[in-house]
Amino acid sequence: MDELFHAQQLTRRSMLQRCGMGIGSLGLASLLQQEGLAAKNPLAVKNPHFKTKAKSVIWLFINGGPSQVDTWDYKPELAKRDGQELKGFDKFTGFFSNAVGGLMKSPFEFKQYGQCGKHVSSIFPHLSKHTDKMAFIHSGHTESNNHSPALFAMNCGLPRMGYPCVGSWVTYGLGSESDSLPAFVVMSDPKGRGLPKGHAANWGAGFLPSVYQGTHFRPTGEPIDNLKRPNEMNAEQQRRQLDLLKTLNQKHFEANPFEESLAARIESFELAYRMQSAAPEALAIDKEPEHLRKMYGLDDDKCKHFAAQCLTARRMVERGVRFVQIYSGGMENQRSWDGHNDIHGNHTQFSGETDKPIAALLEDLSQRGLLDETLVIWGGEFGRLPLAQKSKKPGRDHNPHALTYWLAGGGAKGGVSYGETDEIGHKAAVNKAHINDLHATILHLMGMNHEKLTYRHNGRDFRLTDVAGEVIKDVIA
Amino acid sequence: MRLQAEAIRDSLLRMSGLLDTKMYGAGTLDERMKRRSIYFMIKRSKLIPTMQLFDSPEPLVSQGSRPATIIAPQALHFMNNGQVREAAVALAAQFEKKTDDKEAINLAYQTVVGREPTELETKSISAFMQTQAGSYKAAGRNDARKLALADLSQVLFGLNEFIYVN
Repeated sequence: MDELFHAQQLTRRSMLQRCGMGIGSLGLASLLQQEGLAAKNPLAVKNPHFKTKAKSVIWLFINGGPSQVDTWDYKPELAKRDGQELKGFDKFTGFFSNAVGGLMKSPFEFKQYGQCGKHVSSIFPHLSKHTDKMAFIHSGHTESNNHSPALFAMNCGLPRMGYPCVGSWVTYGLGSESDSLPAFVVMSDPKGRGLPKGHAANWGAGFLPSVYQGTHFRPTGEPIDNLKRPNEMNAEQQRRQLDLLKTLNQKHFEANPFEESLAARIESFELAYRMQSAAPEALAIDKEPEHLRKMYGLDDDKCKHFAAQCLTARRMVERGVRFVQIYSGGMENQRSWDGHNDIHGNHTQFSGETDKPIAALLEDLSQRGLLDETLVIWGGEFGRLPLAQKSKKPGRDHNPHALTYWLAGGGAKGGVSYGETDEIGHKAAVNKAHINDLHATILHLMGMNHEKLTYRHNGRDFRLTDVAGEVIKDVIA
Repeated sequence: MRLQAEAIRDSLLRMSGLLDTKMYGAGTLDERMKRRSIYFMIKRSKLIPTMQLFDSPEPLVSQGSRPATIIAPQALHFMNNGQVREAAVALAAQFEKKTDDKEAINLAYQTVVGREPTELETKSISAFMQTQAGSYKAAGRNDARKLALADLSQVLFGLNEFIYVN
């Protein structure tokens, strides 16, 4: 029957197309079909390169560039030199070369927490209780002092758009554990403050097949549109509709077996059908017990929006979603952690929005035994300068030379601090860690060798870490 | 090559006869409008969801080429979106005039993908039409055939052949 169909479908144009590729392609096409390779699910679970604990990732993207010296990177020397000029400073490091002030101590008080005795800023009253779960990387540095390129670099390894992001690489490498939810979910600011700079390029699949791109939940209203079928139709009738669609599309694909996107789109309808029931269930955070909702801060106006996203993230990874990324804050300036003006007010506000929910997420994952298999990542696109940016209330400008990340769960070693910035927190100084190193470490924790996770594009094998990257062994348990 | 967001939406309106061809004048943020998609107003904080869903570029920066993503929410759009359904129902009203199923299917294929269906396609679709209309009839609907034709129109909107050209 298939043969008959092909005979009918082989138009003059498609005949010429095939002959153009050489008669060999005919043989390959039928081989692909026999092997069932052509219609293979691109999201099927794949084995990692080596055995590992981590199954999923929750990346809390601290959007806008959190200040390392006001959060996790304690610098007593900076306090001592408060107000002094930083000699030899390149005034073009940040964005506002005409507003460079003197060194500025953190407006926040630091105290020691946990068995590891980590110094933490007073803006994290809840998160500071979890320092023994966190592996800090203080010597991070990146390629750009500008939001969009720095976001691309942090998400995709290069400061340009068009490359696959970490979530896409991880999904490509491991497939999806869930056959009814998107493999890779992105949540952005629900308070109308916009999208991170560069928008969807931050969760794009670049040259990887597009099934690996992040599914962006709508920030307000229903997170996923169109989940309810038309009123006049019942489930059985819709299933029959989709069966017919699948039959017709499958025949079309068999006639065009080299078009990967056709197979992916057929699969997307099946995923969509299952999502209709699975997604509302996974998103139903109101089903969670009251004490837990309270722990996340769902009753607290200041942070309930981020609390809902963190709780949703837990429900997602529990149901097999591979990668979740949540952006704290919207676009730039006062809409995110981009504290050019009034660093005190800015970081007080955004830590207030996230401190309780993230602490609750760590606690909740830990209580459920899920923290071991969930890698939680905290960090933004760059750090901030230890100098004041002159303003009515002083802020801090962008700084690509130093940034702090922490990893928790998923095989990360709790209570360790890797690398150091110089004594004022200006530049990474000891054991410098480039974003390629961070990415290599994330892939390693997910069971993948960053040098082996490749995709052939434009005639060469591409990696998330380009031609660099060293796994930071010290942060691995 | 996949049709772009505007072409997908405009084609559905055109095929179903719902397209308002009025030219010029101000744009709108109302997704339910029936004019060509070029008449959507661009407002940073209120981008049109359907346009975004099919990779309409971020309007503030230039973009060398649009991606052509394939994600489940796009499939949900074809399955469940109110306006897609509205177009399918309007299209079914045209096909309904053909009382012979085979003729209706022919017209449907000509309208949506610009060719006649193959014998196999006609066979699969006829079987679907009968079962689907039967199930609506059993549910007490007196517009069972029309509903089945609307369901069929929606299936044809979902064809890869419709959305991928060349």
